[in-house]
Amino acid sequence: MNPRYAALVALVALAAVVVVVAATGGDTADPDAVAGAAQTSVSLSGPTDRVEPDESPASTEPQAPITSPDLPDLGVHPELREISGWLHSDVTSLEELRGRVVAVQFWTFGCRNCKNTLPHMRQLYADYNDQGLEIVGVHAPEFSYEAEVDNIVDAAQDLGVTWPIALDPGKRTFHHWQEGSRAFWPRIYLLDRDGHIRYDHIGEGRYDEIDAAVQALLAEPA
Amino acid sequence: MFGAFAEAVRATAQPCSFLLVVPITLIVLTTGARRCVTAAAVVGAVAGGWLLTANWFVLDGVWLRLSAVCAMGALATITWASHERFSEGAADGPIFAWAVAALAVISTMWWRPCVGHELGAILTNSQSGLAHQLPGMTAYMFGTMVPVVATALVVEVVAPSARQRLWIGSSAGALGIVVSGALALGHHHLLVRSLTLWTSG
Repeated sequence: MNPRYAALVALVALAAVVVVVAATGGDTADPDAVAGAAQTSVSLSGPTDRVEPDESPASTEPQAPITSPDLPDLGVHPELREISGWLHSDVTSLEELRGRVVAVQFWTFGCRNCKNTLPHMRQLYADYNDQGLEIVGVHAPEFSYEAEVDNIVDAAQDLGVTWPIALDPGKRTFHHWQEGSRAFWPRIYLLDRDGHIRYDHIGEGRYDEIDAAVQALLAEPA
Repeated sequence: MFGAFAEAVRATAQPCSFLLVVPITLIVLTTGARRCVTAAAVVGAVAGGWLLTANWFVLDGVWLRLSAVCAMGALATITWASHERFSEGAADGPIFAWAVAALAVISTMWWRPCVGHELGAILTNSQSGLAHQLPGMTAYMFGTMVPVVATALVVEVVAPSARQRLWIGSSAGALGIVVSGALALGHHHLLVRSLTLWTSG
């Protein structure tokens, strides 16, 4: 076959693949994308009082029994380093939150993927805050304009972030918590009532799994 | 695996992928978009994706600038060599393929990926078992290379004349030098921010 025709056929095939990807929305579940080798499946009722359900990423996911992940003890959480200040809180350390389940999320307001998680975080906060969950958003800026406190305050208001925010302008905590060379936004850690890390997830998604993990940690005795 | 591929294809339209896709596309165009260099670019990108999954290395600070200077030199050399081999139509052969693969690996180190559902799952799970995540990461990186492969195929379909090919290669090489030069001068964040603001308002 003439190489040009071969390239044309390949190009058309590639275009078809892209159309299929666009048509499916790319939401096909990857069976490998499930945390942990051994998992415990439990049926848990989903939150009934969703915040802004139209924006909730969880609401777009297929309805299926919620899977509770294994929650291994990953050790006591690292310390917060060089936090320059806190917003929406009188708390100044994670130690003050002992006795509560804490979701520590690394984020920055300019990060698209972080913003995509916020509807779920709002829902989580609304559903479980009065049951013993606290969220601490560690704001670690990628760019200089994201380090300006006024911009963070404005963004938090615009984005509906009402939970405590720890300011990490030098990203010292961001890099201290995330081992290895690369560190990611967003990333969520769940701490049990004793301050041990029990769950860790990079990126968007797994909202049902995070809900189930929070419920399981809240159900654990203090 | 299809989910990872699909997420990567969608991510190529987002600015966080530009510092991966654009340099590699320019590199491939500089070398004439021949099949062997396109394949080398894809292989290099996959290798870079594996390094990302392994959390092995990141180019930042002085290393990022140094790598950008090296990339500038390599691109200038490739552009010059392509010009010298004008009569043959394009830069080809194993040396160019290796150079392109190496530049593709470097480009993945410049990249600050969008961590969506699938990539997030891959990176999270790679902490407890790297090997099982490499197929997914390979699929993801193939997805990010769709625009690169498409560009190379378009060039092959259009079959530009030797003169046009030289113009395309020189322009792409010059643009690639500008991009890597900006990185070498420490404007990585500025580039990413500009791309972000430009595309998302």
